[in-house]
Order: sequence, then C-alpha cells, then structure tokens
Amino acid sequence: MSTPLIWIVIPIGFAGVLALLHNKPKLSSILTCVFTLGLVVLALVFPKDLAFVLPDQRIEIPSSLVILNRTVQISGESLTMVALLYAITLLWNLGNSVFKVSIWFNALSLVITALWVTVLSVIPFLYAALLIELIALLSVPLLSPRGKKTDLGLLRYIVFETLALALILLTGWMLSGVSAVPAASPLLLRASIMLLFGFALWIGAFPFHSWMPMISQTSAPLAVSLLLGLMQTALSVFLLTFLDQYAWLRNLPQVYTSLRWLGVIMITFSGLAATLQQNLARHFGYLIIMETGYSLLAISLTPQGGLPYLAMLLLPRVLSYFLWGWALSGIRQLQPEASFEQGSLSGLYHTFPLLSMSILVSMLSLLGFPLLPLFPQKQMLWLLTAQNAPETIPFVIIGGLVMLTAILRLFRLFIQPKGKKTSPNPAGEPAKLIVPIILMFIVMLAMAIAPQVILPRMLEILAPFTHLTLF
Amino acid sequence: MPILVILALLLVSSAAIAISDALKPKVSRSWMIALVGAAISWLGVLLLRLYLPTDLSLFAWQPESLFNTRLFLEINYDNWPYALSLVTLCMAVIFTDSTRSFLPSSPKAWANSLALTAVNLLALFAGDPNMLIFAWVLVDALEFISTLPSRQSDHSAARLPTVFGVRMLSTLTLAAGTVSGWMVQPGFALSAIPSQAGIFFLLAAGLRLGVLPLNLPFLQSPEEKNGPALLLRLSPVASSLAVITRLPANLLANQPVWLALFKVLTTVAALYAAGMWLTGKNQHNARPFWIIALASFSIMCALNGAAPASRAWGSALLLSGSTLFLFDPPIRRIRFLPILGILGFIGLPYTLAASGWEGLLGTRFTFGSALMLLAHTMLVLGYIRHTFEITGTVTGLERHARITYPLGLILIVQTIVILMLGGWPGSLTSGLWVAGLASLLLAGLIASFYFWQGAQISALIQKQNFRFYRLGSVLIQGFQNILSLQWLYQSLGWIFRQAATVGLTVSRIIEGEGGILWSLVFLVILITLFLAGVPTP
Repeated sequence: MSTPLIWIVIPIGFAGVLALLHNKPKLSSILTCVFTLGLVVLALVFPKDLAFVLPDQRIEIPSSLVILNRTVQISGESLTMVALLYAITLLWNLGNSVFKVSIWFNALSLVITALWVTVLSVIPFLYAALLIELIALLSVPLLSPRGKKTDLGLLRYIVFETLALALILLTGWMLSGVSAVPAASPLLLRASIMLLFGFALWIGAFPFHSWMPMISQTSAPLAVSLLLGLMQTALSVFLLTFLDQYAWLRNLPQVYTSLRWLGVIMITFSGLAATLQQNLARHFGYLIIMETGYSLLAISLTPQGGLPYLAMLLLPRVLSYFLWGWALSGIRQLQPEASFEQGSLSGLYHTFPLLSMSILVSMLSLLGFPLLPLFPQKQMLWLLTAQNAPETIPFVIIGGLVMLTAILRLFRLFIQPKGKKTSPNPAGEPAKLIVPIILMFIVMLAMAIAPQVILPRMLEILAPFTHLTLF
Repeated sequence: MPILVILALLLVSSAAIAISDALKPKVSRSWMIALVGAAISWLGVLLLRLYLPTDLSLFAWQPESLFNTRLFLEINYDNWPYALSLVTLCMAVIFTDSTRSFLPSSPKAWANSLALTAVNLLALFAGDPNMLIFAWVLVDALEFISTLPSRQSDHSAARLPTVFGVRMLSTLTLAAGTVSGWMVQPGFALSAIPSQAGIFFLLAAGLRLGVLPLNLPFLQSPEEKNGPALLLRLSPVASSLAVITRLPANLLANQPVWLALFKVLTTVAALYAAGMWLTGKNQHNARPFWIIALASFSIMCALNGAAPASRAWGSALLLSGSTLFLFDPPIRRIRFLPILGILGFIGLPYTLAASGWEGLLGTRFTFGSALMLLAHTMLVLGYIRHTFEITGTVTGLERHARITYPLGLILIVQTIVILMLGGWPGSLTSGLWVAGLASLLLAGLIASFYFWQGAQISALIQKQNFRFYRLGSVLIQGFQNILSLQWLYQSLGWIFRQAATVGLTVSRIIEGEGGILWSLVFLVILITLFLAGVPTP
C-alpha cells in the first residue's frame, strides 16, 4: 500500500467499475460520491509523516510508486492539494446526480482527477505534459456528448494542448544539457521562453484563449466548469513546481515580470471581452481567463509573499465556479430550450429569481466583490500589487470595472420588466435546486466574513515548495 | 456587547413580525412588536451616550501576518448622533405608519424597516473599513430585495442597475481606499483614516449620497410617500454621512487644485439642490434635493478640514427632513410640529446646526461661503414653503392614530432637542451666530419681498409669473440632464457599441475557421520577438 496507490491507482480502477455501471446512473452517482468523499476525508486526516503509530508498532505508508520506470510520489505535504482536487470532483458529482450531464460523467471525472493528481506527483515532472494531453483527450466525451456534432472549440482545445505538449517536451530536451552550460547561457532563456509559451497554451492565455468561451457556450455548464476548474487549480500549482525545481528559472529577472504582465493582460482582456458577449454561457470562459490572470499575478508576487493568497484563492474560486455551473444547469433543466442568448435572458429574474441571482453572485464573487469569499485574498493581492508593481494597477482596475459593467448589463437584462405583470415560473424553482444554492451562499458568506475558519488550511498546499518564498 | 444586543433586538423583532404575519396575520400585533422592538432599541442607543466611546472587537482574520483586518464595532461621538437619528426615524416611521395600518402590506414594510435599521446601524458602528464595506453591501442587498419586487412591472426598474451600479462603484471605491490606506498604515481604524486614503472615502460617501459626482438617477421616478419608503431612502444616507464625519482634517491638504475643484463642485451641488428644493412641486418630489443639499453641506465641512462639524448638518438632514416628510397625511391642527423641525437646521445660536457653521463657511469668509449661506437660506425658505403649502383631504384620523401619529413627529423633535443639548461635546453652542442670523434675515427679506409684491412664493414657479420662464426651464432642464449623468451613460453606451463592433469582428476572426492559424502566427511572432533579443553564443 502506498499513497499513489490510494489516490491514483485505486480511483482509476474504481472508475473502471463505474464505467461498467454507466447504465445505472443513480447507483453510479452514489458510489462515486461516497468513494470521493472517502478519498477527501482520508487525505485530510492522513498523518503528514505518513506514519501510523500503533501501541506496539509504527506503520509507514510509502509515498512513491514506480510505474513504467517513472516515479509517482505523493508526500504527506501534498495531501491537502489531493483533498482539494477530490473535493472538487465530489462537489460536481453531487451536481451531476441532479442534472445528469452524461452517463460517463462519474467515471471520467474520477479518472481525470486521478490524472491531475499524477500530473502533480510524477518525477521527472516534465512527463506531466503527456498526462495533460491525455486529460484533454479524456475530456472529449464530457465536452461533446454522443450524438452532437464535434464543436470547433473542442478541436481547438485539443490542438492547443498538443502544441503545449510539444513545447514542454522540447523544453525538457533542451534542459537535458543544462548542467553542462553556464548559468548565463542563452539556452536557459530559450528554455524558459518555451516553457512559458507552453504554459500560456495550457492555461489559455491571450491570444490562445479562444477555445474557452467556445466550449463554455456549446458544452454542458457543469462539465465545463468542472474541467476548467480542475485544470486551473492543478496548473497553478504545477507552475509552482517548475519555479521550485528550477533555480535558474526563478532567478531569471524577467520571469516574474513576464508572468505579472501576462496576468494583468489576461485580467484586462477578459473584462473587456466579457462586456462584448451576447451569450451568457460564454462569460464563463472569460471568468476563467480572469482568474488565471489573478493566479499569475499572485505567482509573480512570490518574492513579496503573493503565494499564500494564491493558495487561499483556490477553494473560494472553485465554489464560485460550482455556483455558476449549478445555476446555468438549473435554468437549462427547467427550460431545455434556453439558449442563453442575450435576447432570451430578458426578465430572467422574474422567472428564476434565485438561479439568476446565483449567476450574478458567482460573477461578483470572482470579481472579488466584498462579502463574497474571494474578497479577502484579492484585497491583499491588490495591496501587494499596489506596493510592488504600481504600474500594473490601472490595468487591474480597468479589468475589474469592465467586468463589473458586464455584470451590470446582465443585471439590467435579468430584471427587465416583461411588459405585463409577470409571475414566477409556474413550476417554480424546485427545492432540489434552491437548497444547494442557499447552502452555497451561506458557505461563501462565512468564508468572506471569517476566512480564518477554513482558508489557512489551504496554505498547506504550498508546503512542498521549499525553495519559494512563502510568507 | 450592548451594541450587539441592540442590533439583535431589531433583527429579532423583524423576524418575529415576518413569522407572525406568515402564521396568523394580525396587523395590530405586528405593529406592537415593531414598536416595542424599535422603542427598546431607541432607549438602548440613547443610554449608550453615557458610555462613549465604546467598542466591541469581533475577530481578526488569521493568520494575522497575511491579513490586515480586525473586524470591530465602535460607537463614539462621531457616529452616535447618526445612530440615534436613525433609530428615531425608524420608531417615528412605525408610529406615523399607524395611519396606514389598514394596508395588508404594512407588517412586511415594518419588518423591512427594522431589518434595514439594524443593518444600517451596523454600517454606522463599523470600526474598521472592511466592516463598513460589508455593512454597505448588506444594506444594498437588503434594499435590493425590498425594492425589486415592487418594481416588477414598473419602468423605473430600468434605473435600478444605474442605482446599484453607483452603489457597487462606491463600495469598490471604499475597498480601494482601504488598500490605499493600508499602504501607509496597515489595519487602520475608521477613526484614524490616513490622509492619503481620505479622498477615496470622500468619493465613496459622495457617490452614495449622490453629491460627488452629482448624480440623480431616480429624479424622474415618483417618490413614494409612506414612512418605510422614506426610511429606505434615508438610512443609507446616514451611514454615508457617518463616514464623512470621520474624514481626516488634512484632507487634500497637499493638493490645493483638487481641493478647490471639489469645493466648487460641492457648492454648485448645494446651490442647485437648494434651488430645486425651494421651487419643487411639493416636499415629496423635492426630497432628493433636500438630501443632496444637506449632504453637500456635510461634505463642505470635510473639505474645510472640519469633518466633525458635518454631524450638525447630517443630523438635520435626517431629523428635520423626516419631520416634514412624515407629515403625511397633513392634519391642519398639528401643522406646528413640522415647523418645529426647522429647529434642526436653522443654525441660530444654541440650536442643533449652530455648531455646523464653522465647518460650512470655513475659517475665512469667502465668495464660496456666501454661496453656501445663500443655499442655506433657500433651504429654510423651501422648508417653510412646503410646510405651509401641504394640503390634504384627510381631516381626521382613527382613534389610535390620533395619538400615535403626532407622537412620531414629537419624537423626532424631541431627538433634535436631545442632540442639541448633548449630541456631542460642543453641540450646545452659539457658534457663528452671525451666519445663522444672516441666513434668517435673508430668508425673511426674500419672503417679505414676495408677500409685498402680493405674490406667494409658489407663484415663482408658475409660468405666467416668471418672465424668462422658457429660457429658465430650458436651462434647468439642461442642467438636470447634465447632473443626472444620462449623457455620460449614453456616451459610454455609444463607445461600448463601437468597441463591441470592433471586438466582435476580432472575436469572429480568432474564433473562425482560420483562428488556429492566427493563433499560430501570434505564437511564432511572439517567440521570434523574444528570441530576437537573445544574443547567440
């Protein structure tokens, strides 16, 4: 028994069982939720030294496993991140039990999560690029359900991920000679450029972002929010692995500046682009881009102590994505013909008050609006940015203001009177849709008012990165 | 702890009314719950005067090395007058609303009023910026919840995004001010706002009050006349005024140009609003101008480096204003009650606003001071005019309302007297008695002139008696259009549409069939650009 076996091999095996049960969605859902809950709880209670002390003996669980001559290592310090990834899967699988996105959702979500855990654990970590490509391919059935024409955005997603794979592997090849060249060698600069472009393609940085709004528009909101949420969370931490492992990379003076400007451009661009959207579902793509921008901004402030805020952003951000996915899926379930085009959104509040407000709340939360869970961390990030890179502040402000404009445009549409006295949807918003929203509001509110209750635990995600400035 | 008890009491009363109304509706029971809750809270706030200043630490965000926030509540001489005014207003609303107790919607309105008062008290008691930000968001959310259903089929709903947009902007401005303040003084309290951040706090409060920049989004909407609607409009004003009271003394001291600009804008706002108040059709239609005029007075105090003096004008805004606005239905026999409300802002020695003159006019009497004095005169004239011109068809009230209705108005007058006697150190003063006297004399002269001419003041606004009516109305209309910021929204809309056209074209190119090729071109260009700067070994 080893930690990779518990959190990677067994989940993949269990996903195989779930695949066999795909014709029994209810049972499959229950099994997935119970199983992932077990993985989350286990990851949270597992001793950090991976040792169980019994009265007469001490049992140590190995932290590594060798597969195909590559080592997969999950140390005790990495378990918080593992718990977070499986918690995300658990949350979305609960959602799937209500919305029934796809019969393969349970199995695939579990495999994809296990693969993301592998991405963060494989040694040498450059091989993670292959796994990320595999994740992209496994996402296809979720993003493009059977019977539907393959979407252009999905194809583009695969193309960009493949290009990123090439760039990252090329970096690996270039780095094989690093020990033999002087520190100031241009080879290092080229390698870092390749690496950064590889990352830019992975995370959908401008101008490689087009697939994000496209798949947000055409695919099921719950599936998109899960896949992009998992990807963003894992890749943010994966980038830290690079910075932690390669001293030459983090010591390059241009690296943090480049990351900062890339992040700021993404924040500004996403806000501007969001205001131009005619389709509600496409906003999600731009929200993801904005949040990736904030992640890069936090990483770029590593020497000034930006990383703790990155770690504490992860969970609240995921909750906001979930709220978004839930609300859109709810509207689509109650109104299967809903296209989310601007014209069809008029007066949505009067038909679905809570679902429409959930959309706005999730957007405001991601914007970092007060009394919502991303506010405490973003407020501190704004402070750090103002102190250390004041030249970027106007762009961050513009990005925020235009995103606020996009939210207000939606608000105006939602509350628009329909001409005659309207009454809520005759069928109403069923309790199974409303209760989770209310619970989510309460959790988000609690996180915003008292971030000290849950979020400090998220700082443990940073424990493995011993070479980076954490506090 | 008493602070929490007061807040809890108001919230519990609100919840009790909601539950009682849902289970077994009975208006008298709901009214009694509301009254008892409000009365005990009023007494509690009044007694807090004996323990000023006092604070209540809630908790600090952990780890403290990563956050600058320690949430706490504080009550001192800066916010206590507003707290008492607000609770008085709430209680007066419940008293006077007894004339509308036949309406089935009344209990819900009372429950809303109590909750709104509690949340606004939270904003008033906020000791640190984040507490204030949270309270403002709660206030807005509550206002949204209580406003929107009533505007479902109302075309004024179209203005709601503007109103809430301005509120959100003000909240974000406050957040920006907090960050700016933390750069020089991490974890500062509202009682010690760094001067660098003062401008953000001023703008945040100014935006909510509609003064800086002057904005009147609801100008064309009919003002609702009932008490709860008044509370809905005035309570957020109270929490914004409390921020102004706490602004640093050296606000914009290092930026004389900005200071001068803000003073000019504030003076223009005060003059315009006072003029519109004087010539308004009735007190309800002119209500937004009353708020803006007196809020401008408060802001001017802060700009003159005497922010604490703004308490006098702020309290006058809430108390004198509500005495007049709550006088509905207007019963002839008790018309003297709203007239007593004038005590709150007349500015004569040993009245409530006497201590506000020094802040309003500044240390030196300038042309700007004269204009503010003129604005004050117009406010006085307008108040008297509206009081005397109120007409109504109601000649009598139900038996219970004959007691409760005037009692509500008396309560407000009584609070004016309380604040006058001991609202804050130095509240009972002769102040700049010359200014109060000058304003009163000027008001007397203007009023006499019109009576001497055989015309009533209201005739001023009648077309046939105003020689340059057409020119004047065009000018006023144009000015109103400028101030309502519709031109700004329309211009932004035009810019947005143009940008959207360009943006959508670019988007179509990137997302079209050749999108991947375009992205590859970008990739190659960027890599080439980066590598071009690298010297080859």
